[in-house]
Amino acid sequence: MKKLLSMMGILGGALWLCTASAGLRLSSPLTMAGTTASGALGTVRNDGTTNFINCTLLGCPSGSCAKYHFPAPVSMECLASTPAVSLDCTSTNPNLIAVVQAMSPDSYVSFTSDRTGSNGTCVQVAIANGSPFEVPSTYP
Amino acid sequence: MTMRAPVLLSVAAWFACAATSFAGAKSDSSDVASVILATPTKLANAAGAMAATRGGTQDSLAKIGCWAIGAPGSVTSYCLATDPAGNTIACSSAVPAIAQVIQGVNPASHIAFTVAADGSCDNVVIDDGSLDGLKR
Repeated sequence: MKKLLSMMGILGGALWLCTASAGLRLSSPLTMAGTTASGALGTVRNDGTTNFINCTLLGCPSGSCAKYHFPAPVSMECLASTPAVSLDCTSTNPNLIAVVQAMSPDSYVSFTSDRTGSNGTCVQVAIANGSPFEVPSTYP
Repeated sequence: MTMRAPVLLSVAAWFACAATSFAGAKSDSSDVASVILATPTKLANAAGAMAATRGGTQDSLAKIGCWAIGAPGSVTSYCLATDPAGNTIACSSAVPAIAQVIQGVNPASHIAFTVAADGSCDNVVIDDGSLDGLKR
């Protein structure tokens, strides 16, 4: 009986360990289709390629914006690139800017431009922060 | 020239540096905070990745970051950078746009800012993306 309980304990511990370490993990490499680019920052960073996806927030006092060619006191730009194709768009829309503010190092990012290639206007930005997305590699 | 030109140039330069030492598109130790002090014709500016700066040699003085102090009716934003040689620049701003932008800072952000002659922030640019990782 004692041996059985002991074995059940070991089995339970093993099952607990399995459960605790088996969360859903998604690999979301950079995908670019038409006017939309998406990917998880961690997966894209770790994929060993030169692909990247990036969003930028730009701020300036209104009197200085023209000097830096910023279109407004607050604006955003998203840019994704592979060796074959790149897509970038900008926006001064406060809703899109608010979404970009929510980016974290392990976000999943998707953005849509109003045109292919460069110089587009962003029509949608989506940021997802959650446990399934890959954590980016670290500096030593 | 649109706003994209300086941003794209910055990303391109950053990408070029990264490509020299990593197989993937990543920033690296070359993104430790750098400071350019003001001259009679140029404003002071600083740039660097938070993680690369934090991950520098232990005796390095380098740091870069932005923060905000809020009070009912106002938010004051600050950015500060020190390069490995100890050169330090900082700026502050009560402009809501600057406060909005620095809300986008996260542990893997790349930060760039320019200091006006009066010490205010003349611009702040926060880059978030797959180019930057985290300090181990």
